[in-house]
Amino acid sequence: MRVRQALAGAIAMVIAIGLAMAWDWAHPSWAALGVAVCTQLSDGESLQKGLMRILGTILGGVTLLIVMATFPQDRFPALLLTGMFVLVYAYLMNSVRRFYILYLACIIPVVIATAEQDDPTRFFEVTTARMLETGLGVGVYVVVAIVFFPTSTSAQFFDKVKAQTSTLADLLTAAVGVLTARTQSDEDLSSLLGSATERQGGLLNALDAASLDSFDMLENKSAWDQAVRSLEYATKSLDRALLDRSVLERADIGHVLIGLPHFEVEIISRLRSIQQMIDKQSPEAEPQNIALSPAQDRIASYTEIQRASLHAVSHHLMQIDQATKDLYDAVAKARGFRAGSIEHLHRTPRTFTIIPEPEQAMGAMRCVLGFWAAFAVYMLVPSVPFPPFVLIIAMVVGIQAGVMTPYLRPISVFPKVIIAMVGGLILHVFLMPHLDGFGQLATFMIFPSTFLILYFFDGVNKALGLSTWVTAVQFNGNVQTYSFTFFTDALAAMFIALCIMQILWQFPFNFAPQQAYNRLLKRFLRSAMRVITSMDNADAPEGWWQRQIRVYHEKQIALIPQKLPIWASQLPKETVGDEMVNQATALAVSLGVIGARLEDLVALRNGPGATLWNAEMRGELEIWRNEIAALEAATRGKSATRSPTDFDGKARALIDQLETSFADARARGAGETSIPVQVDTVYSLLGAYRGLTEAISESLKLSNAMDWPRLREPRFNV
Amino acid sequence: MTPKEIDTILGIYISPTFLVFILALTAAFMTARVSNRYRLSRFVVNPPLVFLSVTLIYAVFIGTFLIPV
Repeated sequence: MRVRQALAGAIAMVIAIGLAMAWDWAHPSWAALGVAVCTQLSDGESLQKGLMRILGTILGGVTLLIVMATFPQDRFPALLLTGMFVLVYAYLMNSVRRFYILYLACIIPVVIATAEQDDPTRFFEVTTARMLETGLGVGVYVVVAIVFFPTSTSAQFFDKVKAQTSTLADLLTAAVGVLTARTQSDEDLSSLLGSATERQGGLLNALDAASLDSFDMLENKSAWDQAVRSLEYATKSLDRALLDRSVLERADIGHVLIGLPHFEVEIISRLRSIQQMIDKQSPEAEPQNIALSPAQDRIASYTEIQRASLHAVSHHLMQIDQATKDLYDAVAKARGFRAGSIEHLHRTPRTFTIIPEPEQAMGAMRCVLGFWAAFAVYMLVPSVPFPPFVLIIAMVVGIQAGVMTPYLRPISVFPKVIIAMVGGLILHVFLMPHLDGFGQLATFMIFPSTFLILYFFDGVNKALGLSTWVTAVQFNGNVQTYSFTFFTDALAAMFIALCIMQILWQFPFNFAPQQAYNRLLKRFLRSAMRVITSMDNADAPEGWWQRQIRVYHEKQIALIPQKLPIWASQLPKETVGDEMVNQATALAVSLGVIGARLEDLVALRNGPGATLWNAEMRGELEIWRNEIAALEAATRGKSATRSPTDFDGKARALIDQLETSFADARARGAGETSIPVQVDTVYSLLGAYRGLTEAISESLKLSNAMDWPRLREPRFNV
Repeated sequence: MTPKEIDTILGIYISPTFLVFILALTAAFMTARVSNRYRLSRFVVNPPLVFLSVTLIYAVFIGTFLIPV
């Protein structure tokens, strides 16, 4: 496979550069870059990436034309307007699936403007040339890959969906095992959940690529899209069901929840049938209806809290039942076992607020500041080597480091750049002058170099290695020049650009992991506090601006826990220690539970009967606010003098108090439970209240164990 | 000040200032790593500024005593 991929890339590179030179195109290196970006991908993925690259080039070209048409003679307004475009594109990159188009749209104006800096009238021509040459590179690679070494993207997508269904089946078995105390495999469960969530993230992109690979996939894209979303919903519901396991640990749920063994068998059978349908085999069984109900005689001795947890678990299990039915239906339609139209289910409703997401905005600002700083160096510092290179590298690194991997220290890539450039230098200075004609160039340089890079490099390093090689050997038209100073200038330019981005890594916004972790933590706690407060006056009429603020905070509590574990894993282990990194990760996960519980409460807030219960449980809101304030104080190093057992005791006391308040409220007749909808709401609310109290106590316990002064102490970010 | 160049290797001439700054940066980088490792950096109020200052101190030292610029 490795050899086949390397051969396909090397042949495509030779053909693409050969054609560009034969047609006397000005920048054969752009065609070579088109090949370079596709090399680690399958046919459909290459085509998709190529299309995105062409669309990005068009968008970038249009952006440049707008800027040039608006301010043809004014350098600084043009710079300001370009910066605004870059700001918008870079900000949106984190919100869209096809972010690569926006990535290119940020870079292309700079590439084209610097490629033809002496003649602004040729911008349109250059944009077209860039598009054509990119298309040539991508097209040649796709043709070579399909003709000589076909790898089906659809097959890869099917494998991924099957692997995900298998993981879901394993996860279900493990989860039921944990819930029924059959096994105590919490660690296995966490790792299975982690791998399921990770794999789920790439499924929609894989589907996009696969739909370009075959007509059948394109025709059934909607059904597959539904299948992927159903899978995601099932995994999420299972994760939610497990949140209540601590309460039910000793509750013998296996015997209490009638129908649980049948549920497990049925869902696993469904998932097996789904896998068979993906393989184009008839399914072994149609989905059967499942009924889960608690044994009334056994739950008589349950506390209200345990009943609420049992209710929550069975509710989430029924969600899994529905999601797997929908998955079955979608796959059956996609594979032609059933006819009918697709209903679009399990989509997360999008809530919009005009308040920007701060981390995204900071990343986008960093790109723009990098661009402006590099431009200032270009314009104001005399004798800077290779100024266009400084601009382009600052832009590329700005987007990569500012938006995609903000925790990466820009200067840390410099050693890799030196190695790649020295390799290119050796070829360029010692080999290329001895080659005569394209035949020799292709045989002794292009083919072996591309093959070796693709064979020995892994993953994204293949594209990076090839791009650097293309830059180093300088395929600029048919007239080849050899210059050693090009390398020294290019290296110096790269160093300057990386230094600019390194400064912007810490100024004006600090992206060092410890600062970012603390910043996000503080923002999460503030948003959690605001969301809890908003429940206090849920009945009050809400103005437009209040709604924007509320939606902003609700989005923050869902978004920040996804980012925090990444930052926690990037904390400098050698200075803060392994234990601190583990503690910070555990705290991030526990904040995720707070976020999930708050989301549940927000969703329940407007349900039938919820308003009344919110009023009854107002005392709880005050307790949570106090606990979150204590959590915030703990993160500032002002920890309470409680021992770990005190925290457990406090949590138990709070939950007992919650149960008493609940019982009192019911005794007063609040939320009559004769209507089934209200029973659902009341138990869901109680479950969410209990879950939140427990999650906050857990986070408080974890944060109290952390050495915050050490985490916060100043250190060099090297 | 007379412009100078150093013949580093195989007749490749480079500016001594460039070499001095590369060495100074490397030395500052190592100093920072060591101070992080032994928690000496906690006595520093503004690490990025101190890093820059240490680089300049090294540059002056190297440029004066080791590779005169």
